[in-house]
Amino acid sequence: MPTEFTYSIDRFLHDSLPQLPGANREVALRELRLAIWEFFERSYAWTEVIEDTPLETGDTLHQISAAGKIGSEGGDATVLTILDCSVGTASSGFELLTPLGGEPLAIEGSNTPPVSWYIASNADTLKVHPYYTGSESLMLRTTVAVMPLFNASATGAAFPRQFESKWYDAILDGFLARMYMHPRKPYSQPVMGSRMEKHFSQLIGYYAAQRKKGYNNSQQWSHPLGWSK
Amino acid sequence: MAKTYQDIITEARVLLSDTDVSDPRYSDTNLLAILNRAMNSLARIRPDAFYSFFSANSLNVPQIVASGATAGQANLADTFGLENQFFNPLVEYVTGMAEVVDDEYTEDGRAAMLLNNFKISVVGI
Repeated sequence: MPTEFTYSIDRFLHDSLPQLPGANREVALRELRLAIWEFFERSYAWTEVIEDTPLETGDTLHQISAAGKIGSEGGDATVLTILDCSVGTASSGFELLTPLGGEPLAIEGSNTPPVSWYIASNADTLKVHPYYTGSESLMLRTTVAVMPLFNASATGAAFPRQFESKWYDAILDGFLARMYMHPRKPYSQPVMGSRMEKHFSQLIGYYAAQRKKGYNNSQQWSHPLGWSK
Repeated sequence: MAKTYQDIITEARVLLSDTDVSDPRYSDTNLLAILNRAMNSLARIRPDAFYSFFSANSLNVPQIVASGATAGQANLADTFGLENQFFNPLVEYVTGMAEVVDDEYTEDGRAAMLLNNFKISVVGI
């Protein structure tokens, strides 16, 4: 089994500061964190499956948290948004719920498992429809887009190896673009920064498309529910 | 061993040929005042040098004092709180500015070169 969580933010700085003569390390770290944020917020490239969130009864808001759920680094990551949700149990299996664009016109309850879900507040929270009033202990399984916390440890080996094996070029371009745009610094290169910013945006689109295909060229949509639902 | 603010003045004294502690040409008080001006000049040109001193969205340039530092101040003996890339420019500023005010031994060209070096070091390559 590969070691998944091996990459630290600090390694980016180690690799790239020689391209930024005279840069203040803490300013560079801030720009790097912002570039990482922008990359993940716009691409949803880092996704994880969060298991075993208990389905609460009643019209309840479920917050999906990464803490303790994603490898060893859950404390350094935060859920950006929920991409899909299924409900069930480990023994009987899970059924994918249909996403709704918003709160349904009528909030209704049912003692059978819910059929759909929607984001009711922050994008890391969901509600199910109809809300559950049954007695069986059901679990939610969600696929979520994740990004590092802004104050995640810079030196801890906390992030997926894809940082280096996949997204390195995009994040590096985004980071250098931000730095090169600084005015009147020894490392200022606005023209190069502009070019890198454009390339950064292109790579965000590329990795967003990769993620939409599940990284295996598969179609990423589910069949509409049948009349039985 | 980590540099201290005192090291800036000590190294400036070497460049000023003023290392006789029993009879210094430049008083500690004067060089300390120049050092504080150097810090403020650096903050004007490179506010990011003081990134770790930002507090409540304000840029805070620590005032260097001989001892007994209170809030917003740092002692000469304290560890140099900026990145080391800014140490040498500050030495050059203190040396250059000291030579500018030295009537008897002034060397205008050298002082100008040192002050220019300060600026080039912090905004150039």
